Amino acid sequence: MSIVWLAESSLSRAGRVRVGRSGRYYIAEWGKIARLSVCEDGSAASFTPLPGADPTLVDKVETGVVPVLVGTLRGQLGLHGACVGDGADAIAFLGDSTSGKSTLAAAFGQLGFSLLADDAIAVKPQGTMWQVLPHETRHFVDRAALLALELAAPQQASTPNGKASIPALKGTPSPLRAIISLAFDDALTTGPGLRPVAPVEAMGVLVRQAIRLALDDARRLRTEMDHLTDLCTSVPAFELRRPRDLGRLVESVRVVSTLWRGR
Amino acid sequence: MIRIHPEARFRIATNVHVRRLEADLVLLDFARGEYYALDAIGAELWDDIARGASIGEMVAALVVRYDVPEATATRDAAALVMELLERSLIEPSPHA
Repeated sequence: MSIVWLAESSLSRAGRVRVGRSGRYYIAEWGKIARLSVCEDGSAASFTPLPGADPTLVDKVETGVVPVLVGTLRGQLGLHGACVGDGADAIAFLGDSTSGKSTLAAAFGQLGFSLLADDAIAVKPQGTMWQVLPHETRHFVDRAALLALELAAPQQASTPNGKASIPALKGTPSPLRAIISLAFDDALTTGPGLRPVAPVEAMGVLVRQAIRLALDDARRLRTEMDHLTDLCTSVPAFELRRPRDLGRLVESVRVVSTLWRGR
Repeated sequence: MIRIHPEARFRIATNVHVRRLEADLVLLDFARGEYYALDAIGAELWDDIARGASIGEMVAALVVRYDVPEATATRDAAALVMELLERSLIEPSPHA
């Protein structure tokens, strides 16, 4: 059966990503890395690495975004971002590619936080809260971030885009207590700044970072909107503006830690 | 200058899903998977459209709410209606 392609993006680090439908199945394809086929009810998921694909990238896609995409067909909400927890609560870092989500998550990992997501966050409503479902166990950070974090480069090969995979503390399902949108601001003359954002602004961030397969399903799109509006009214959202200089990463960690301790 | 007849009325398109966030509105065109946001003033005009108000009635309400000249209110209401029409978020009402 032929595939009707519904959307395509070249923004991903995994190269061109496209999503389509073939009969009752959704198809997602990551450049020359892998293909996912899953029934529209979230069953019969099949992940196939493509010949010659880099195994580290295959692993990153398979353990990162794939379970989240499949989860969106089973009532979960998927967000592009990283998420860490302190054993009780979770904090999510959202932002576009190269906004430093994984680096900040890894910095919190060094403070004893566990990893719930490095690239794609799965959340589901539970009563009046939103529960983060952990599924990733490795941070993917580039060499400069490794240096800033004073971590030794791992022995295993890095990905073609220069990221290395480092192990993390495994997280447990935790209620999401804060959403932080990340932005670089090299014009900052002072340190990093954290400001609360209004729900409608948070909604803009969440919409931009939502991960979805069922692009052609009006019922699911309406449900996703209801979930997103509920999420941005029930979980406090902030914007962290900070200099790009990784030598000042500790300042960003300090600002977020202060918020976290005061929650 | 955009001109819309003062008696013109519109209705919310059936492909639009709406949620309120404090004073703002978020609109989803689920036929296209596109999101839009309206600020507080836009949200009030949206509510006027939803209850079947004519352009003339919307303008009169703006003048009272914000103490603005009628010409300003007419320009702002017409601009929003035109944008909503262009994006297929509203459509002309058959009862106009």
